[in-house]
Parts: sequence; structure tokens; C-alpha cells
Amino acid sequence: MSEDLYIQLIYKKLRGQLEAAEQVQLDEWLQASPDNQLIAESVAQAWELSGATTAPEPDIDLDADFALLEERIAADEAPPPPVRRLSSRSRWLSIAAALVVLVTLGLLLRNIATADPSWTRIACSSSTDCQHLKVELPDGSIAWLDRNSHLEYIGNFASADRQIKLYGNAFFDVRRDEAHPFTVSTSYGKVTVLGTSFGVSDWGDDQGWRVNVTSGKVAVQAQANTQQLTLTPDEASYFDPNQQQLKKTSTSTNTFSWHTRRFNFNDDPLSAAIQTLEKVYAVEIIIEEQALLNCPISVDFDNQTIEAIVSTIAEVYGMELEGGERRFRLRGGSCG
Amino acid sequence: MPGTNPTDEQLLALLKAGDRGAFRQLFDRYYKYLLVTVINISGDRELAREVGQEVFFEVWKKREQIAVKGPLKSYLRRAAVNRMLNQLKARRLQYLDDEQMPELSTRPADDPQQQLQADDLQSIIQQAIDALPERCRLVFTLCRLEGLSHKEVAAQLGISTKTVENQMLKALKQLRKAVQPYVSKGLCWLALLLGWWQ
Repeated sequence: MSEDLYIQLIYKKLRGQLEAAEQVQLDEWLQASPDNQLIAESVAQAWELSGATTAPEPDIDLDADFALLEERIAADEAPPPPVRRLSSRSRWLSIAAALVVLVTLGLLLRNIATADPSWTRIACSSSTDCQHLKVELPDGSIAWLDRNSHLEYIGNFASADRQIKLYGNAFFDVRRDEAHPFTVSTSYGKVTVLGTSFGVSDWGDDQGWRVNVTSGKVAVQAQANTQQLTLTPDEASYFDPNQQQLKKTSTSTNTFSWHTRRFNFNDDPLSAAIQTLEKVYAVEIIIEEQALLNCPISVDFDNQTIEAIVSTIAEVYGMELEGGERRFRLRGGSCG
Repeated sequence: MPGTNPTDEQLLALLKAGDRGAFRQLFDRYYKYLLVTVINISGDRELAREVGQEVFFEVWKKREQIAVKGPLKSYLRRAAVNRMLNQLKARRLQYLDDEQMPELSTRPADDPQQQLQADDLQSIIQQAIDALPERCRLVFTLCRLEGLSHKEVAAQLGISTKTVENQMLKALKQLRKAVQPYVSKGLCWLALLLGWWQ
């Protein structure tokens, strides 16, 4: 449209970039009608006014905002959380594992070690016999912590954002609150949601960072390169610390087994199933007959004790079960 | 010294030594200014707050290394604008597929007070800027308020200079429409004032 062309010329003029030939063109157009002059004037005036523009003063509470800043500084200066590993070989852990103790803790445990009192820390530590810890957050959201995991949340979520810092593995069921985004920061990245359920796993090691979504929409952002993805149900993301890359994947079947204690093995090699069970129950399962490791296994387990699960497996393959508690040995047997 | 305010340089020197009081004074002096800067450019109040917090967090964290050339105010402003652009770039990735950019948080219709003041040309232009689509607004304000060239804006936002030109034209057309009813025909006062078509 020709009018656009002249507005473009006026803009060039305003920026002092109009060439002589264009000036002639513009002058002709201006002479042609008073309407054109009005347009030109309006553009010029809009340009002038917009240069001096100021949005209405934001309503800022300097004290509150400075307090927020101080919280962040204190959190940053606090000593980093100790790295804990799934290692304990003590007897009590195996007993606990066998019983699948689900510890529910609604009380807010304040960690004395944390320098900033505005951050509340809750841990599911193997040294306190913790297998699976339900945490009720101040906004009504629920977090379930896997063993050897801990989280910290800021204040009583009264500040603008619902901020969580997580080390390890956890599942979140977030109460919807559009005004206050819920963020979970881990060593490799940050997850932002409004209300949804999802799992996050990040031990800060070479296993990387995994996010699995079960409902709603989740934004994930890698710490290293601010790469971002949006995930919808049954989608997952994986940050590979070696390649420093965030990728979209899908949620695999037993991702949440640590939380639900439900397992669904469908033609998986026995070795993979054993590995999953070992991890969830913190036990050791030894198959003596190496040839059996590739046998396919198709079976569901729902909230069973590890003893019950292992004896079912032994029965299926005609294996002899030895040991118990946290170390199981399976002898003989065949795929058939 | 009672009655005298310490200069920015004095406060910076104290800050380097880890003086929290000096940090607070600098915060009181420039936090709001940074927020207004970011709101003027982006129209996004939440983002402004995020950026303001980030900038001061970094100032504290890097207080020992900080090297300010020129006035502290411009240093902070640059830091805020850069941070804002980074944030927007990161967000943009998320919206790259679908053109559904998030709506601006401040819309003229949201604020009846603003409507009442609509007789004031300055607030009319402000409303018109607030009503621009996000990308269009950013292109316009970065050119107009930050004085960036088309090329610089294109590089900052990761778009082509052609897109910058198109967005500038779009913005000017919309702002022109907002202003035009209040510009009296034939008066040409502004044109005369500016020596506009000499």
C-alpha cells in the first residue's frame, strides 16, 4: 500500500536517513493532499512522544524486594548440600526395604544447618530409615521424595514464586496457581509449571537430569545453555551432561515405580527387570546362571514386598532362592 | 558526613569490601530505575522484577571483580537490558513453533485510571505502545528508547533486519493511528517546530 511507503519515508526522514530523491517523492506526496500532511504530522508526533515515554511507575515495595534479594543471596552463599550416594549396606536398610516403609511427614522439618531460615529443608535420608517421603508443601502441593534425596523450599511460598531446590529424585503433584509459578531447580536445570504432576531426577552426577510429565504442561530449562523445552503428559526430557544437551524423550514404563511400587515388565530382559528392582528396593539380586539374564520377562507387580517379587521370579524360571533381607541369590533354572 | 549523600563511586568501593549497607543504598538508588527501564521496553512488570533482582544479585555476587567504566547508572541499565533480552530469547525458544507469544501483562483496558487520563497525549501514546504485540513493541522500544540500530536490534532478538523494518513500520502505523485524532488538521505546529519539511 502506498501509504506504508510514505510512512517508511517519513521514518527515514526522522532518523536522518532520507535521500534526496526520496525527499522529492515525499514532498510531492505531502503537497498532494492535507490528509497526507496530517498523516505525516501524526507519525512525527507519535515518534516524538514515544521517545519521552515512561510507563506508569511500578508499585514497588523496596523493602520487600530487597528482602527477596537477600533471601536469594543467603541461599546462594549457604554451603552446598552434601552429596549422598546409595551405598549403605547395613542390615536395617534391607529390613526397611523389605517392608516398604512409607514414611509420611507432614511436619516441616527445619534444617538447622541451613544458613538462611527462609529456606526449609526436608530430606529422605537413608540414615533415618527413609524409603519414600511424602512432603506437604505450604501451598497444598505434594512432593514425594525418593531415598537419598532432599528438597528445600523458600519461605511459606508467600513470595511471588513457589521455589523448590531439589537434589535427587522426586515426584510432584502441584496445586494449580496461575499467579505463582512453581519451579524446581536442580543442578542441571529448572522446571517451571503452574499446576501439574511430574517427576524430576537429578543427582548432579553423570546420570544427568530427567523430567517426566504425567499431567499438565511443564517447561524445562537447562542450566548450562538455557535450552528450553515444553513437555506434555507422557513426555520426558533428558539432559545429557556429557553432550550438554537437552532432549525430548518419552516416559518409560517403570519411571515412577520408585514412587508407585508398581512394575510392569513386558518382554523386558530379566537383567533389566532385576536392575529396576534393585534400584527401587535398594537390594542386591544375583542371578548365578548368566544365560538367564537375557530371558524375557512379562509380569506386573503391584505394591508387593521384594521377597514376594523375588520368589515369584524364582518360581517362573524354576530357580532356587537363597538369602533374603537385602541380598538375594538365585541358582539354576531355565528360560523355558 | 551528615547531610551529604555518598557518591556511586564511594558506595562501589564500600561494596567491594562487602558492605551490605552500601549495597542497600545502591539498591534503593537504582532498583526502581531498572524496573522502569525494562517495563518501558518490554511492558512486562514481572519480567522487570525478575531482571532487577538478577542484576542486583550479580552485582553482589561479583562485587569484588566489578569494573564499572562510566556512570554506574548506565552500567546497570545496560546490564538490565542485556539480561532482559536473554530472558526474552530463552522464552522465545519456547514459542518458536507456534506463533502464540504470551500476551502482555499490561493492557490499556486493564487500567480504568489510564483510560480516564486519555486526554493527555503522552498517556495515549503509552497506551498505544502497550497495545502493540510483544515483538513489535520490543523492536520499537529498542530502536526508540535504547537507540539501537536496526542491525543491532535484529542481532539482539535473533531476527532479520527485514523483520525489524516491518515491525517498525507496523508500530509506527499503529501509533500514528492512536495519535492522529488529536492532531489538528492544518495546524502543522509540530512540523514547524521541528523544521520538518524544510
